[in-house]
Amino acid sequence: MQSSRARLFKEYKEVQREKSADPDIQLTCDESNIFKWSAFINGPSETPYEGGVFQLAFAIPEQYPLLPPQVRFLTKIFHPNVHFKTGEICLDILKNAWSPAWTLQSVCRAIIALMAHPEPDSPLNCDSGNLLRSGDHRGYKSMAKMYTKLAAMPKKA
Amino acid sequence: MGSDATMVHASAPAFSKDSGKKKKNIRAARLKQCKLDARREQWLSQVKSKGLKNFTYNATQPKLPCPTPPPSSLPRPSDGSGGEWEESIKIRAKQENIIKLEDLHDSDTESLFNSPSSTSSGMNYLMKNCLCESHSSHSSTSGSGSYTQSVNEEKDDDGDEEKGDDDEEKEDDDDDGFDDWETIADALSNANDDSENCPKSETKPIPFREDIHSDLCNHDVLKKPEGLPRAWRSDDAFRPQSLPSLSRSKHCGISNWMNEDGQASLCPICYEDLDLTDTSFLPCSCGFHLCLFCHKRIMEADGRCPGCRKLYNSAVGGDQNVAITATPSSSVRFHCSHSINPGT
Repeated sequence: MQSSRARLFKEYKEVQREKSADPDIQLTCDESNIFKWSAFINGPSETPYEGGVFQLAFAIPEQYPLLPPQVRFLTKIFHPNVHFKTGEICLDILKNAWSPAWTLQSVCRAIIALMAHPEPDSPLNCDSGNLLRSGDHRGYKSMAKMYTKLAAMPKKA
Repeated sequence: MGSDATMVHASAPAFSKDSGKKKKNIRAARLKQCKLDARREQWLSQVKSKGLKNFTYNATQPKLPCPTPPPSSLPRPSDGSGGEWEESIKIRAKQENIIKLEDLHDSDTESLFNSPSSTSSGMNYLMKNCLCESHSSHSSTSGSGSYTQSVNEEKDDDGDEEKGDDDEEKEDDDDDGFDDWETIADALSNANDDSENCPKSETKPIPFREDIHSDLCNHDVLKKPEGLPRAWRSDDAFRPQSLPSLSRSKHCGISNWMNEDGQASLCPICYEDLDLTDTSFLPCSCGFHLCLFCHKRIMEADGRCPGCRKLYNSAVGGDQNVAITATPSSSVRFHCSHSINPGT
């Protein structure tokens, strides 16, 4: 409990210090609860998610960093490894491949990498996975782009 | 220096003119050594023009109409014995002044010819040689070979007293001329510049030495722009490159165990500082550092290395890992028992 809190405080300081280091990630902590974080990540370029801003919600366990944070998309996203309704992310580092050496910032980077390189063999979104597995990249891209425009783009644009 | 005993010894008989001339000469030679010591000290300690003027006083005052300060302003070395010392010098100087000045020229020319680069040598070289000379005559450490030789010969000559009075006197004066490097310097400048005009050129060496001194000062200024007794700063342009460049982090002992690249070693799990025990603690062959507390917690959880995600115990070289993990814990135990014992 105490160690996870201390570690999160340190991470918070680190994030504040290197705010401009990674412009694609805006990681913020809930003002009343240090175990609740949220992040806005920019969709990687040359992907169907380009131009979209996706919000992530972090729920950090008390055993953190021994246990991984629970991360899910708040923004709707069409991605084979993201549950379309719950926003749950199927990512190895958030499950069994978690290492205490990871940080929330590095988790955000991993999620951006996952958006650029989907893994259709372990899908949470079966429709998206099936499109990719059947080789219909065009269909997958257009669907993903549509949902990016619908959900992740600012209303005005 | 060891000049105190001989000086007291020599200065008392110098008053009584009844004593034999040979003895007097020997003692005067000793006295000259003392005097030379004193002068050298003076020269080293105060190099200002005021001090420099005073150096030439003993040799030149009785004979030459030089603008030298009165004897009362003569700065005395700390180990000098006051009036006796000064008076004896006066007497001796009066007696030997005429011969000395002549002989100085002789000895100068001799030394000039002895020295290898005498023809092209300027005043600096002569000054240097004179300094070497005075040094070697005392401590016989080293110096230019020809000079030390000549000094030894003269001392030998002084040693046997069978020679005639004239001879002895001359040698004595020769010796004096060699010892009195200040006067030699003056006389050499005379010999070089205007070979005969003594009184005029007697004042010349003083500004010349001042020039040397100011040159030295200028060099100092060039070397250190601040001119203050300050240590070299790392960004100093004139800082010698041979000096090692130490980063500030290496100076404080607490952060001695920092990494080579200067960044503090933090436990990547809890972000706390790693102490010495932690940094030497390598539980996994992948080289992942972490503190003992986090390692214990990980061992209680899934027991995998955060760096390579392999199980700690099943990692490569399990025996080694066991040994390594055992070392810190045993040391910790020892520490505990050690700290408890004095309390009880």
